[in-house]
Amino acid sequence: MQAAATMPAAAPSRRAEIFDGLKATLPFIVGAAPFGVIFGALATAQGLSFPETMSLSLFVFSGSAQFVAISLLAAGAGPWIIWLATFILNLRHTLYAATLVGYVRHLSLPWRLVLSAGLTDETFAAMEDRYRRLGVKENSHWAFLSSVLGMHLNWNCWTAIGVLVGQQIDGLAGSGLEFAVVATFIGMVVQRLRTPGSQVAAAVAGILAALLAALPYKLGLTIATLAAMWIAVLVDRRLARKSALRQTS
Amino acid sequence: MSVGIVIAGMAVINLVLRCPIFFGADRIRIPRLIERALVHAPVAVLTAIIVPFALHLDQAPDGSQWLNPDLFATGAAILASLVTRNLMATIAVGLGVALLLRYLAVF
Repeated sequence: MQAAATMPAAAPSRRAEIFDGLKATLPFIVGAAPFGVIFGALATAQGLSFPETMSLSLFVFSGSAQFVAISLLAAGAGPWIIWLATFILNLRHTLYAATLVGYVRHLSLPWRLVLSAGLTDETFAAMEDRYRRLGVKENSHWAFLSSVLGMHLNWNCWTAIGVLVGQQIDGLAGSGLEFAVVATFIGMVVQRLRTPGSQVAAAVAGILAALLAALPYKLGLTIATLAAMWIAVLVDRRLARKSALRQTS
Repeated sequence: MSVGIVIAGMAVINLVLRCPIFFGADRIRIPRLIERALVHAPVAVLTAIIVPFALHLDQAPDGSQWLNPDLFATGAAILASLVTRNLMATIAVGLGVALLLRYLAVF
């Protein structure tokens, strides 16, 4: 976050940033395809109309919340249950915004609103990684925008295809293609495990997420994340105090 | 209540979760302690997504499907990342193992 507001003279062009943002998001775009098709087909199978299914992908634009919503709708759950599930499920998006806010502070309000509205797991992972490595350049937000629009367009195209092909998708679930998303996450995490704090964060998050996986609405994901961040801060503090002691003695 | 209202509510909730911090970006100053915790947010949240996926806990929360192609693909991707330090190589190896083990129907 401290890396923000460094603007070297020769920043990449707008076009180069748009291309690079798409490149950074490409594995997620590939990995989201089977999910989009499955969502479109499943929503149709559960009785949602084409406009209803598409407006979920267009305006909610959140894979996990959309899947939970259609299963709750099918189960006859009331709107408040579905809204509560959406809220709990996507609490982590607030965390994403807080992590990235230092990189977008200089942008105009419309820019900030558009970028934040498209803040999915995938775009967060790709952009956080990019900003941390490259810092903020003059046209960095164009990469962010191309990541958001690329994911959005891709998700909606595959949703529509899912609605159209309907039930002929046996075997797409679990085809293995969805591993592209997880593989990208793995690459990003492994390269960040250089400090004891981040190693502890990964260990705590992984163990707790596994132990709490049975909780509804991915509540385990949120709890595991927050607990891991908190414990990692304690580790960081302890190490900082130790090294301070060593310096004074 | 119609499905349309449910969807509109979900869209609003998502905006409420995603937008306010960027909206107030020029005024909001994040406290030091939270800023320090946020440094660990990517590793924490991504690991919390990876591990249940690798153990197929979404499909089987009791852990009965922990031995599956994605667990081995995860291991292969971690190794590839440690060895090559390259994201594309990590994705290629992980995805390759995930697809290959399914093709061979090992599990």
